[in-house]
Amino acid sequence: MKPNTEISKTAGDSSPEKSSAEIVASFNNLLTDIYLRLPLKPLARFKLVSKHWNSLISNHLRNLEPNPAEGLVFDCANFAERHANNLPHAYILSFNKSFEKLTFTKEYPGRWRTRILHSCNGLWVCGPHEGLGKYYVCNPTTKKLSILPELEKRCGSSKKIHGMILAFDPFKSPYYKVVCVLEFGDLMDDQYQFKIYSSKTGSWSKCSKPFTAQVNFQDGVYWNGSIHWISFTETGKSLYFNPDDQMLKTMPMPPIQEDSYSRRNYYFGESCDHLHYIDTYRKMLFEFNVYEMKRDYSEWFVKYKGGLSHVINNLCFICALVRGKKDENSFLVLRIKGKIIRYNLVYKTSETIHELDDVQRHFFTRARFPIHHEVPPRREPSGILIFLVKSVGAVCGKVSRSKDGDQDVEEDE
Amino acid sequence: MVTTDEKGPLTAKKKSVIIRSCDGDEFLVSESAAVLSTSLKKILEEKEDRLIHLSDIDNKTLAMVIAYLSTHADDGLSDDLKRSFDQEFVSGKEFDVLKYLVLATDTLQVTCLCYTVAKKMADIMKNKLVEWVRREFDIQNDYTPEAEAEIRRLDAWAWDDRQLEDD
Repeated sequence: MKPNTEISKTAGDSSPEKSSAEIVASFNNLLTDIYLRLPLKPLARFKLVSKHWNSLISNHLRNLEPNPAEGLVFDCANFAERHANNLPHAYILSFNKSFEKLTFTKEYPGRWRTRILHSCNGLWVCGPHEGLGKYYVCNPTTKKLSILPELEKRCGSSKKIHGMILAFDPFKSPYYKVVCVLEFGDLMDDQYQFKIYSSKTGSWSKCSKPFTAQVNFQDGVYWNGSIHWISFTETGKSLYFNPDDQMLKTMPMPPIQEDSYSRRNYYFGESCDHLHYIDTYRKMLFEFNVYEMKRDYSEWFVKYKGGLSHVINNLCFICALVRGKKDENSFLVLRIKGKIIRYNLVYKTSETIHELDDVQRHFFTRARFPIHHEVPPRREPSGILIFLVKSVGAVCGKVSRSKDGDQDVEEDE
Repeated sequence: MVTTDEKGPLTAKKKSVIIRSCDGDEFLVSESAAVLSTSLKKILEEKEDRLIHLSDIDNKTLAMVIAYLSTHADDGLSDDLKRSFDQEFVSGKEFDVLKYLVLATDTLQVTCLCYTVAKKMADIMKNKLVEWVRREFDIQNDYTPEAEAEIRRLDAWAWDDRQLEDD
């Protein structure tokens, strides 16, 4: 017999009995694999196991990367039609090609009039389509929800709400904020105020000083600790607001197309901690630049160049830009006629991921929010949304996703 | 080196390997199953050894790993069946058994089994007390009571009144 090959962690030591210290030592590499699969709450508790575990867990939490979006939510642009025809509230398109109805069930207050108003890193803020009603933050993965306290009606006479925007960065804090944009006064045009809800205090702040703006507040994009809005006029300023220090600042913008007077058609969104802007003035997208903002707001640089002339010559809407952990996994989700198409930004390849039927065509006129099912349980519901759990007490099954993509449905305790 | 025939390299399905545990028992494993372990695959590519000694892995653990590898090497089983096998495979296993399993998957570099076992361990651990974790991993508490209080204070949200298990 030829000499044996031996596999051993402890070379030269072939004694079958290993000391527990040795086992513990070999475990250090494996602990990260376990941490990755633990919800955040026990993970935070286990910092107490030992100093070594504390440093391993703290290090592990620091090194977590944002996960790419798993799919998109498309809601119905025509509320009346939805209501009249008993259509679902929205559709969820997963990039693994499944396409599901989303209908708010009885746990959701005012469910018939409810819309998803904004989405941020796995949480949604929902509220009435128009007029009065309850606003709440929910976690679509766990179906846990938390009703926001009523806004006080005192500061200013008119209380038209122009936007409810979520600010939630699970890498920085387990708490989220909701920024409400209110109209200021009855007569002044374009004057607004902020009110901020903090899940840490469970209450709304006082109104901010009024300010002028020409942006569509509902289209705010959360990135880099601030909410960003693009002005739709040539002269208006694009803004960003940090709900922590409450500073409102002006954001530079790429130039408007020479023969256009306003920014009417553009894509603006965040993915994997990058802020993107694409001018889609021509809507044909023969060629286009994908701009990305530098973290210090010094400039927009061209991240990708794309072109769709070789694919199709029809009007085209960008539903979303989804960054992958690697550049070659980054893609656009496009709607061209009745098709939802995935366009790879590096290889310039396209594939149809879904064909819409007649009902579904009502749903896709606006680009909608990415869903982060993949926000793994560790930095999410069980720990993060402690306020949701406490205030509602409703506990549902949750979908958790491990790194290798296996999906388990498990019952929460 | 695996012989190359007209179907290309590494098609020698019928070949097998003998794997010996640290207890000295030997297991006959088909090569198609063995190569699912990255460590074993490397050895089989480099050398002609047909007897591989694993000085870190005991009989009981090795038998489980081999059952896993053989199932996953079976082309006749659908992916769904393999997934339900994985669930069955870890369900009801003692934490101690899982510890040795996960160490074995590390030595043998069987990534998918490592993930499955780590997931199961995390599921067991998530409702356990810190003291339970210390016992299972044989770790001494090296905090002073003051430092312990400080850690609890920093992550106060993680310490609600929920019942945690100690067994």
